This record gives sequence, C-alpha cells and structure tokens, in this order.
Amino acid sequence: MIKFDRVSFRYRDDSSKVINDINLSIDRGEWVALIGHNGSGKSTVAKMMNGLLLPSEGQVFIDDIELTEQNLIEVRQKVGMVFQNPENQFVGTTVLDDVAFGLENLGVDPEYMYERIQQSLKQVSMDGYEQHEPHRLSGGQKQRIAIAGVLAMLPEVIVFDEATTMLDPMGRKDLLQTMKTLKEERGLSIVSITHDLTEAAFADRVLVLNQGEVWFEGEPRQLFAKGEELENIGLEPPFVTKLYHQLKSENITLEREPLDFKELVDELWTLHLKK
Amino acid sequence: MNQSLIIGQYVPGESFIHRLDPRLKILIVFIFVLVIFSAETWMSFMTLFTLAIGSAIISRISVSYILKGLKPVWFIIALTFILHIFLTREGNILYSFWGVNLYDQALIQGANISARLFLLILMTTLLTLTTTPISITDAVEALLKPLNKLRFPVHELALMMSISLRFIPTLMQEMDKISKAQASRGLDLTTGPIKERVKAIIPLLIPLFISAFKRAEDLALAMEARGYRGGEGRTKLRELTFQKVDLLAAIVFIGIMIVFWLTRT
Ligand SMILES: Nc1ncnc2c1ncn2[C@@H]1O[C@H](COP(=O)(O)OP(=O)(O)OP(=O)(O)O)[C@@H](O)[C@H]1O
Ligand SMILES: [Mg+2]
Repeated sequence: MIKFDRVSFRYRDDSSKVINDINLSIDRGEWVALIGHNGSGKSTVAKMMNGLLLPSEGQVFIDDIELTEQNLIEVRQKVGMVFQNPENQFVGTTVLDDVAFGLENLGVDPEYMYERIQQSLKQVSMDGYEQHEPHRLSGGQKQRIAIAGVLAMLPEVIVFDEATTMLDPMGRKDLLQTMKTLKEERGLSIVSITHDLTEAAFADRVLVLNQGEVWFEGEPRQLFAKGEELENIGLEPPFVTKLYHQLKSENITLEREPLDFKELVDELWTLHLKK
Repeated sequence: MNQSLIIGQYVPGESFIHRLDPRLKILIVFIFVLVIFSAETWMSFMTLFTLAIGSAIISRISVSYILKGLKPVWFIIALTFILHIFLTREGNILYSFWGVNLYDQALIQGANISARLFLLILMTTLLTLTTTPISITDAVEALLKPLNKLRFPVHELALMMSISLRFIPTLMQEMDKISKAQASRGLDLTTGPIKERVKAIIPLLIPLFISAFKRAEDLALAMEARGYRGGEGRTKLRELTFQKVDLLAAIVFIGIMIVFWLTRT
C-alpha cells in the first residue's frame, strides 16, 4: 500500500538529514502506530506519505506507483490526513461545506456529492450536523468532521498526525473507537502518529522513530517488553506496562505481559488460581 | 460573545426573497442603487419606495430587525437633511426666523437626499438579512467570473472571503481569551488617557497575529492535503441555479424599472 524505499529527507540542502535512510511499508487494512520523541521526524514521514513533502533521496511508492509531482492528486485522494489541531483544519463555514471541500478539489460531480457526504457523516456518527458552523462543535466533533472530509474522498489509508492529542480523555476514546470501526468495516489502513503508548496498543504493528531512523518495528507487546529502554529514547511506557515490570521486580510474574487494563485485570485475578 | 457579529445579519427564513438566486439579488440591488440617484419626481420616488418596502414585507422579516440594521445610519440621514436645510440657498423663502431663512428648495433637496440614502440602506440591508454570507460569496464569485479572462483572481478572492467568514468567530474567541489573559497580568484597557489605552492594544494584537499566522500555515497544509490546487478543475457543491421564481422576480423588477424610467423626470 505505502512503501518507503531508502528514504532520506532534509528541509534545506545545507541542513542535516531529518530522516535518514528509512525503509517501511504499510499493508492494506493494517493499523500501524508511528511513535517517537519530539522532533524524531514523525510528521516529516507522514507528510512524505501523501506528497506534502517529497523525499530528498529514495522513493515513496503508493500502490506500487512511485510518488512524483505528476500524480500528487491521485495520491492525496488515496492517502488522507487528519492533523492535530481540530480548529485549523476546518475549511468550510458549515459542516456540509467542509466535508465537500475535498470532493470539490477532486472535481467530483456535485450530483454525487450529497450522497457521499451523507455516507461519510454517518460513518463518523455526525449525521444531522450538516448545517452546524465550526464554533458550535466540540474539538472531538471537529476531528470527526475532518475524518468525514477525508472519507468522502474514498481513501485507502488515513494518516492521523497526533489527531487525538488535543482532545479530552472521552473525546480521545471516541475517536480511537471511530478509527477502529473504520479499519474493521471499511478495510482502511490506518497510520496513527502518537506520543501516547496506550494509543499505540491499538495498532497491529508499531514503528518507533529515533533521530530520523527506525529504532524498532514489531508488535506493541514486543515494544512494551523493552521497558526501561523506552524511557531512554524519551517515551513513557503505559501504566499497565510499568506495573507489570514493577510486579516482576517484586518476583510476581504475570503469565503474559498485559496490553491494556482488561488484560491486566484478567491476569491479576487469575494469578492466584494458576499457582 | 456577540452572536449577531458571528453570523452576519442573516435572519433565516423561507420567504420568496430568501429563496431567490443570490446572483439575481445582488444584481437587483446593484441596479437599484445606481438608479436611485437619477430619481427626481414624486412618482419615481414612489415607485422605488413601493419596490423597497414591498420587498421588505414579502421577506417577512420583522420590522425591528430591519430598524436595527438601519440604526447606525439614522444619524447620517438626519444629518444630511439638516445640513441641506441650512446650507442650501435657492428658491423661495418659506419661513424666516432670527435671520435664518428656510428655502423651499432646501426642503426638497434635503428630503431628496435623505430618501435616497434611506432607500439605499434599506435595500442593501434587506440583501444581507435574507442571504447567507456564504451565498453572497458564491454569487460574487459567479458574477465576477468574466473577469477571470483579465487574469483577475476571482476564485482566490471568493476563497479568501469564505475563509475569513469561517475564522471571524474563531479569532474573536481568541481575542477574548488573550484579553483576559493579559488583563490577569495587569493590562488595563478601560481606564487612563487615550494614548495609554491605544498602547495597551499592542499586547493584544501581537499574540493574535502570531496565532493567526500559525493557523494560516496549518490551514494551508490541511487544504493541500485534501487535494486543493487552486480553482482549476474544481467543482462546487452549491450550484446556483436560476429558477422560475427568479424569472418571475426579474420580470417584476424590469417592469418596475420601466415604470421608474417613464416617471423619472
Ligand atoms: N519546516 C521545517 N523547516 C525546517 N526544519 C523542520 C521543519 N519542520 C520540522 N523540522 C525539523 O525536522 C525535525 C523533525 O520534525 P518533525 O516535525 O517531523 O518531528 P515530529 O516527530 O513530528 O515531532 P513532534 O512530536 O514534536 O510533532 C525536527 O528537528 C524539526 O526541527
Ligand atoms: Mg509532529
């Protein structure tokens, strides 16, 4: 679906490489979390996925076609992006106008627009809000509208660049649930960029960037097993993982490293039975 | 926060006037404003008043809204009338007291100008009361389209207008936040000499500008990510269509204009 082949990037010819010779691939229907400390190059990688930036060296392939200046529009239709600040990506004066924005850019016949907009709004549970202006929506609702705007363009991948960062815990949970539904029901690939390792636990696969290089690639569980090493590269392990390691140092070993609270609780209450 | 500023003056409704094609409405108001200044006779003024007040009635907008729209200009209308009365020295003296003469021409010209101003404001207010800002933007874009041939950036202008409309409430909220934040640091906007107060605005404007630039940068990126590449090859969700009601309105308007033309002098 998306493939980076030995990609490097520098912002100016005379500055140093922000991304250094990385290879990565995102498969169809897969959820990949991209994590790393501030300035590790996550957003830069994200922008190269839909041609907002073009690599200085190496190639980016979307569906096996090399991304070039000539096919930017097709690429941007296939790879949608949702950014961090809900306020600053809302273009239209109403929800309806905003969701239509991408369709208008693609030159879609207005006759088909309403139907596609309706479907997209329904998928993010925002149908009925068509005439709302942005200042009447919460941050979480605006993020859903941003998703609907991308969905209407019928993408294959959506890249979320810290899209949950500015939301409250409830809004964050709702948005993650929406992302999960999209993946399951529409078979979309999801790239979620985050600092929050708890969010990374939703992913099928995690990529950790450190100083512009891929530092780790694998399942979330394998990543969390790294424990202290994570803190060395500026990441905070989730509570569940920290507790697991603490228990371990107290000689209480859980059978399997838990990923979320439910698994943790299950491990804990069955712990005694297993002895 | 000031709700009326947020949505412009638009009053939602389903009246005949509300439903008219915004392009037609703008054209009508434009022609109307031009012809107002060639009205001379009683009959021609009556025609224009009939049209303006008739439209106001059909729009079913309550009188209080319309008067609110006119509020800032009452003063100007009254002032022009008074100035005319004192400064015009033509025609016959009607009345004279304390050495000040009141001429009949002064009365007529004062009434003339005031009536014209009133009509002008009434019609433009009606336009903004019955048309959403975004429809006005769309209509301006459609009407200016011919200028594209002269390389005039019509699409960009319309986009600028609609993005401004979109961000006015956001920036106002932000201004509110900044002024509270600065007030909590001891900034005083409400007392002191004018010079000090003007100076105190600077700490409000600078953060506002900085954040506006940041927003602009983010927005540009988000627009580009959603495939924006200028006006070329772009379609529009809202297509303006000229319908039967518009035809009817246009015919009525032309009829009134003919009557006006015949009674003009
Ligand atoms: N427009 C730019 N011009 C020059 N350098 C930039 C630009 N944008 C980012 N950089 C630099 O590139 C590096 C990677 O930035 P990037 O935004 O990709 O990091 P990030 O992992 O997304 O960080 P964060 O977690 O803070 O979002 C940083 O060192 C940053 O200073
Ligand atoms: Mg970033």
